[in-house]
Amino acid sequence: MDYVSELLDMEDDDGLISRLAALPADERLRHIRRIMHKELHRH
Amino acid sequence: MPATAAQSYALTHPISLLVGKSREDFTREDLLRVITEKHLEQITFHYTALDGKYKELHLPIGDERRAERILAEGERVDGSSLFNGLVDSTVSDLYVVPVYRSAFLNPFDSRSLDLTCRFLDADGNLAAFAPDNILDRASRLLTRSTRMELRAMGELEFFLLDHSSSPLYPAPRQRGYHQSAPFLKSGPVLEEMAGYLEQLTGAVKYAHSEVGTLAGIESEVEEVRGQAGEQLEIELLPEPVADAADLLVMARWIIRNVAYRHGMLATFTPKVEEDGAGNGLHVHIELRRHGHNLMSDGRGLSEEARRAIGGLCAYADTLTAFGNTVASSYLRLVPNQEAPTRVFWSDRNRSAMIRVPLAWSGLQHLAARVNPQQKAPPAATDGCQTVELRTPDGSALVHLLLAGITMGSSGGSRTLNRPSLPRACTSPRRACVRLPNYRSCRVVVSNPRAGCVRGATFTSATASFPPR
Repeated sequence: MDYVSELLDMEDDDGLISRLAALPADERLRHIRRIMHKELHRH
Repeated sequence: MPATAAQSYALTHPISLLVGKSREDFTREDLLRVITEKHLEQITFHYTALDGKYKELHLPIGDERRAERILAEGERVDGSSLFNGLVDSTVSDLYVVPVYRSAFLNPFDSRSLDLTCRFLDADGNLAAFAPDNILDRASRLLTRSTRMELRAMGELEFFLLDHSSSPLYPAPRQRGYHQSAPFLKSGPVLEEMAGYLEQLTGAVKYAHSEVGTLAGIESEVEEVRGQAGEQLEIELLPEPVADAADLLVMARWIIRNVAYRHGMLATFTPKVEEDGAGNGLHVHIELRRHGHNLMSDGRGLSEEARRAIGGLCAYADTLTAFGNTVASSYLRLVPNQEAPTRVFWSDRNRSAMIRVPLAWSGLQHLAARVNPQQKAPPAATDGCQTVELRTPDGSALVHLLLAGITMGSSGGSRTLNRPSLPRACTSPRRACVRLPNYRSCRVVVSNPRAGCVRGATFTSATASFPPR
C-alpha cells in the first residue's frame, strides 16, 4: 500500500484539471501531451 | 480433457499434446521429457516484479540432473532489486519457484522451456509482499469465507504504432471498431499476437480492432512522434482470479515482443491523443460455486451478482488507485468517450463504472434460428454472465487490482454477516456519484482505515475481514 501511495504521489497532479484549465490553449495542449506521453510503458 | 494428436488443433498447447495431459496435471517428469524430446537448451523463469512487468532469468541446462534440480528447487534472486524499497537489502534473497502448469515453449526462443514462478521467502513460504501472492491470498480468503470462486478476465486495449503505415485505404478517424483489411493495416500482427497467446494459454476469447485511430502523433517524445497507429484489443477468457493476473502480464509481454519484432510499438498507456479513444483494461468477473456460474438466476442478475456489484461500487476509490496509477488515467475518464465517469451500474450506459453485458440469458442454440437445417442442439453449457469493471486502464498494477476486486466483490456477500443488500446494488443508478479524482484516490490509499484492501488483505490476512 505504501508503494502504491508513493506511486500516486509521484504523479504530482493535485488540482491538475484546474491547473490545465488556467493555461492558454496551446500551452495546455503541450502540457497534456507531455502527461500522456511521459511514460508509455508503465506496468 | 487432455488433447491427443487426433483431437489436436493447430493452436493446441504443444506440451499438452506431447505429454498427453492437461496443463493442470503437468509434473516435473513431464517437463523433463519435453526438454529431452524437443532438444531444449535452457529453462527460462518468468515472474512479475513490483513494476508489474514480466521478468526473466535464463538457466542453461547441460544435463538432466541440472534440469531436474532447477525444476524441483527453483533459483535464488535478489529481492531488493525486484522489490526495491519493500525488501531489506541485508536479507534480500528470495527463491523463485516454477509453477509447472504454467510451462510453455517460448515463441521467441525455440531453445527454451519457460515457466512462470512464485516468490518464496527464506523459510520456503510464499513471500507475503509479492503482488502475485497477495492476490493468491485474497482469492483463498474469498473462497474460505464465502465458498465461492472468483473468475476474472481482462480486455487488453492497446495502440500499435507504426512509422511506415501505408497511406492507401485510410481508416475513418475514430471509427476503427471491428475494422477489416485493407482499412485495417495491423490485422496480421494482431492475429500473430492472439495466436501465440492462445497456444500458450488457451485463454483467448477474441481479438479485434478498436475505435481509436492515430495519424501523425504530435509529441515531444521521439518514440511516438509522427507515428500512425491503430487501436487493437485482445480479450481473454475467464480464469481463476489468481491465474488471470499472470495471464494479463504474460499477454502484455507477448504483445510488446511481437510488435517489436515487426518494428512497431505497442503501448497500453491510457491516453495517446487528447481527443481520441483511450486504452482501458476492463475486467469481467464471475462468481462460481461447485463449478457453476452464480451471476444469473434465470430472470436476471442473481443476488450474489448484485452484492458483488455493491461491493465494487462501495470500494470504487480503492480500485481506482490500483487500476489507474498515472495522471493521464484521468484524461481518459471523461464524458463522451465511452469511458466510465460515474459510480453506478448499467446494462447499456457505458459511462457506468460497472456494466452488465449480454450473456445469452434464456437463449439456447441461437444458430438454429438462422440455420433451420441444423436440428441437433450443441452440448449443454453453463451460464456465462459476467459483470464488467470499466475503470481500470493499462497503467493498472494488475495483481493488486485483482486482489482489490476480489475483496471488493466479496464486500457485499451475505455470508459475511451482511444481511441486507449494499445500497449501491438495489437500483442501477442509486450510487450515481462521480468517479473519484486523483486526490480522493490518494486519500483512500493513504488512510489505513478507509481502504478495504489494506485492512483485509495487505496486512494480516484476516485482521479486519469483512472490509469496513
